[in-house]
Amino acid sequence: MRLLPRTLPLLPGLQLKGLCLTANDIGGDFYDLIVLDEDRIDLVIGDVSGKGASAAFNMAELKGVIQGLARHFREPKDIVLEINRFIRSQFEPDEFVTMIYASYRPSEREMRFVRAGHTPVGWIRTEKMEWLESGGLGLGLADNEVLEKSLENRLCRLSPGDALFFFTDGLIEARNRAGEEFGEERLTGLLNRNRGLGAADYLSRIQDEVAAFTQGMPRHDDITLVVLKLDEKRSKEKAS
Amino acid sequence: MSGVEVRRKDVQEVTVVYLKGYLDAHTAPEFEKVLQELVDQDRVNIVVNLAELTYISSAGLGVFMGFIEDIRKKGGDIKIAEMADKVFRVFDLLGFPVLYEIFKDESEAIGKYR
Repeated sequence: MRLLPRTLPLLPGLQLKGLCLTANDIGGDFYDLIVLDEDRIDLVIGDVSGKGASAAFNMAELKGVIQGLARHFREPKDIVLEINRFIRSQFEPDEFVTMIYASYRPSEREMRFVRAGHTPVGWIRTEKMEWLESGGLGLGLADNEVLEKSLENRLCRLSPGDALFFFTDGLIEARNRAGEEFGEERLTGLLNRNRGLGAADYLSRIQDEVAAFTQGMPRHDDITLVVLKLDEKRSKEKAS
Repeated sequence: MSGVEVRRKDVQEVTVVYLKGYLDAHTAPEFEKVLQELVDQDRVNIVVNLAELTYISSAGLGVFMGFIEDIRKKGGDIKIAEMADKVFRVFDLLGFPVLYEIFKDESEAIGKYR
């Protein structure tokens, strides 16, 4: 789908890779990367509820709205609240969106984000990986007063070689022939075993393992994966 | 993929709706039909028993959102009971426990209306 970024920008010291595997029945997954200035890169990944044309239209509309909001607000929480206001006024009551909105400052190696009902973020460090699962309602489910109380700002200060892994639920809900789901446990093991890989290889490895698991079973939901990885210090020094 | 089976049982002023199987974009209309019937009949004290639900997609979760406002406006509610851990995980990630009362037992959920 051309609604997803054609290419991701090349940024010094940073590897960025995104991938969306669409289901037969188009889902509402999206991701975007917005470079706002030298020291601010916003990353958003989301899943619009439902399937088919309505989910795709909602997703396209939302993507435009987010591009605009990113230029007017700085805090992920404020942006997400504005997105919620938009969804509450424009979408049907049974439609909602889960999302991670993250904002990265390269000078501080600092990622701030909020999770709005979305699957957690994997923080992959040299020695181990951990899941970051802050509180936060999905968007469109409640008015801003309720949503604001539920949202938690998270901040992680990354070290060289660290990666952040974002995904949509289609990944853990992918099924094999026996009807078994890929699941969170299998994903955690996979992410842990491959910690040292670069962003592109990391995504390929995940894609391969999921394909081996599902053995050609049709996808019933989109799968979206995004990896942001900081270069190792050594290679950075070598380059400079 | 398998479908969903929707049954209802009236326990005095409360109606329990049982969902069995797989609730997604294709099967959600069956659940919607039953909730619409209940709203039309003004039977709005509802408990949804999910003991036999094996999967719920975003479209399935959307059904709850599509009806809750009308049901609460009429003085009723949807309470959710007996979810399997895997289904609860989906509700929990989305933040549903902030919006809906969730119970381990159906009888406890019914008791909340008394």
